[in-house]
Amino acid sequence: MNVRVPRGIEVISLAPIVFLLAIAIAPGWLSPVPSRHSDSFLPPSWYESSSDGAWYSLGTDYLGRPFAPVLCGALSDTLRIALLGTLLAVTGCLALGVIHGSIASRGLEALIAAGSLGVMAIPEAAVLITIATAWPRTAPPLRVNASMVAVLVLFAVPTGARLIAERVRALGKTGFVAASHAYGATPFHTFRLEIWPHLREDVAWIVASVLPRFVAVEVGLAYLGVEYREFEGLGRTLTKSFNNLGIGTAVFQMLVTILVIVGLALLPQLLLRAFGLSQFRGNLP
Amino acid sequence: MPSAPQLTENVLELRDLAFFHPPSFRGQPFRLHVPALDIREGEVLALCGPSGSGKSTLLAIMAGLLRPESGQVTLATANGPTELFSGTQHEWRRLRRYFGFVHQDPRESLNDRRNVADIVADPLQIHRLAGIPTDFEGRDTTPWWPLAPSRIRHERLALAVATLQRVGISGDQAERSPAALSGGQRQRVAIARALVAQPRLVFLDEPTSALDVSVQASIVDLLRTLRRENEQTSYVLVTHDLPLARQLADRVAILDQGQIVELGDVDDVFQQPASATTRELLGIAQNELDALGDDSD
Amino acid sequence: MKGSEALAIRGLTVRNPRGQKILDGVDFTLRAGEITALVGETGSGKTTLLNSILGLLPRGLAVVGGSVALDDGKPIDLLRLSPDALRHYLGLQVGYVPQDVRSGLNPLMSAEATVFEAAQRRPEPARERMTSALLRAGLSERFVEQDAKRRPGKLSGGQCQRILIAQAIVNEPRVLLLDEPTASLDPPTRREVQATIRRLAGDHCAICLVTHDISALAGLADAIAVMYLGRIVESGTADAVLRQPLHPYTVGLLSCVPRLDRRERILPIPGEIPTNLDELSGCRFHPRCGSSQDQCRSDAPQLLEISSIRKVACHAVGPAAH
Repeated sequence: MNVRVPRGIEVISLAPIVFLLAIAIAPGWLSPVPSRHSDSFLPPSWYESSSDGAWYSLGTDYLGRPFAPVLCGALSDTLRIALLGTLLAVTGCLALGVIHGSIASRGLEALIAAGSLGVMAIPEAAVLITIATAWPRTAPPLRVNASMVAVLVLFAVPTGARLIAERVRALGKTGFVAASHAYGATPFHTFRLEIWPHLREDVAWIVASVLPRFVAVEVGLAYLGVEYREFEGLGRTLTKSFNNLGIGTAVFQMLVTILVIVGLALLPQLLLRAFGLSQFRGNLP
Repeated sequence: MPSAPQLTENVLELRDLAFFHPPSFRGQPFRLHVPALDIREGEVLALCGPSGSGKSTLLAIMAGLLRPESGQVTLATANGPTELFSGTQHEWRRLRRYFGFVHQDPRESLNDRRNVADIVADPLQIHRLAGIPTDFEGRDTTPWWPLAPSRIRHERLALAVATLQRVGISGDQAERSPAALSGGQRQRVAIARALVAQPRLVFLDEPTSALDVSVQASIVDLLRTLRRENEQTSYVLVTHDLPLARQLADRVAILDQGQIVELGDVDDVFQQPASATTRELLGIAQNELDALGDDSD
Repeated sequence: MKGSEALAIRGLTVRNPRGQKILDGVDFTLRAGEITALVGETGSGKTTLLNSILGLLPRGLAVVGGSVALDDGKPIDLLRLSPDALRHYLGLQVGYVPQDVRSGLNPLMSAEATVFEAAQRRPEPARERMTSALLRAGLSERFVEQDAKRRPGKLSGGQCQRILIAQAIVNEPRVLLLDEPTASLDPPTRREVQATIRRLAGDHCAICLVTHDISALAGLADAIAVMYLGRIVESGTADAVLRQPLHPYTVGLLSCVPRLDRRERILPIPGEIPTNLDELSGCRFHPRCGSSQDQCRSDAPQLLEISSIRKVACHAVGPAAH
């Protein structure tokens, strides 16, 4: 095959993307049709025909406008922001990634690691706020707190799991694991002696990233008024002080809070370095 | 119909072996086919041939690491002749005790996160072997009560360190990680690991091709010495380097396209090659040696 | 013209961050139309020597002395050039074929495109030169017609190596450097590569083969230089060095090559290649040398001309001794 002809499957897979882009860029042709008050909240016409015989493929919305164009218009607005955001994010990823990849800078690496901690905290925060406010006032505090901790744990697992999975996969291809198998070791034996020593580093990295996150999320949410119930943790302590004092002391308290969280985030990293365990993941066997 | 394996002096017997060899860039896919091949106790057999001829595949099948499509590989064990592939997974693992392996790349075959003595003691630990304690006259002094676990571990490590000393790795080096050793030293560690459990067969796949020339010579010397010290172990060696086969092997099998085209004593085969493949390989090797001005006699 | 100096390295010294000399006063010459084999085992510094010529020294290693003079009408010291100027010369006058063929090729560019791109550094029409380079590198006409548009992922290791060779020779460089071209190849394939390299040597190109395996390239070389721990210990015409090696290390290396005609005890060179250079004074080979004298421990021997075709750096082998 000498000439590169785009195959059918690739053309087909491009179609949805082109479709979405079209909606985003050119919404005008699907602008909502003015309403007819008598026709609000109609079901789709293929389900039940309308009183005046007009065809509403998806029914009408609460203002009597045909729902299909309304949906397209809304999709268009959302997509525009999403595409703009994606474009900015890709630019940021490329810029930061290329710089980070070309320079072996520990400072930059720590910054990016801290940044990914912060970023991952946001969807967690959203879920935690929802849970904390959804539980009724009379719910047992243990259950409420347990559910919030469970959310934090669940959010922490996938990243770490992927790290470990990559490592195990790479190790499975090495010669010494093959040798262990050839000498008749059971899979458990191979794991304990050959694979586990390589995972210690990853486990340390996971501890170093999850531990400060628990603290940061708790304190951060406490400032928003969402906290563990009946729990005199760091978050509540700091926010109570913050609420009761003047602005100068409040700023001081805020700075202390930030320092504590940053310190907790950095301390495991420092301990890792002190024990000679590298954070760089470039040395997969 | 070849006779049922007698295994009086044969350690390993192959019968009617067939395996589909996938296409390599050198040529077409072919079928590896070996009607019969025996390994005698204490001999060194070299498998030679051009790249893609199936010699590494044959080695893997003989070592029990690759299942052939048809045929039997029978090993002489303490319980009589046992077919390698017909048992359960558990039985297969038990049979591993009779084999040792040395691979081509000494950097890959040892785990950098463990120390050398532990790595060499692995086969002992896997198969629950302990060093047998002896007194000064060499009599077995195994106490009648079960050995405490720490004592067993000590025995195993002592045996590992003793084996390492036989291959030229000192006690200091045994406490370190393989990353602190050179390529030649790592290959010695791999050889020690292969020998520590006193296997019946040791399989070596291009053991010296990744090493410097002067280091290759020291490994060849070591293998010769080890072989003299222990005449019960058989060695099967894959190499594309014919002079190396000449220096180490008793018998040689020349493979081409999945068939053994010649098999016999190394002196006979190299001095009077019967097949065209052998003649071609010998010609190339001789040309290279001639260029070195090898005129000493 | 044939025999003239194409690349002259004089007194090249490279230090590592610990202050040890990875290369110590290396003198090495490549002549037009000749194939020179640079023989060195692990730790000999042959990779560092190549990297110094190519401007690819890793961080931490620094050239602290010497010159690498390329003959371009007049001698140009490659070490004193700016990175841009160096890139100019490397693309046109110095061709390089790395050992690791897979990582040397851009996996997203087809074989043709790789060679074509290199050919465009010269103003002459690139397409014919590209085809001719691919053929000279040992690829068949069939390959050029059908497979040249494939990417490296779909080609064999041997084909990838030849593409790298084509890329290096397409601009007719004065100097061609090949790093371990036959390492881990089986003998029939080795023979093919050797034939290709032999064809590449014309009247104008100086070829340098860097290898650890003296037996694989002995048939090709016109001249041989032997390196040990950063110094050249022996050099001369291939005939002279191989048939009558003078330096104890060369003697040891040659006796390590296994014989084909009979079994005999191979005597390896005693000891191991040392990793710590700090404790080595004088001749770097003296701890392993059978003929070492007191002088060898304190004085490093210079590379002296024994005859018009031979240089040796050894106290036991002086001009008087020959």
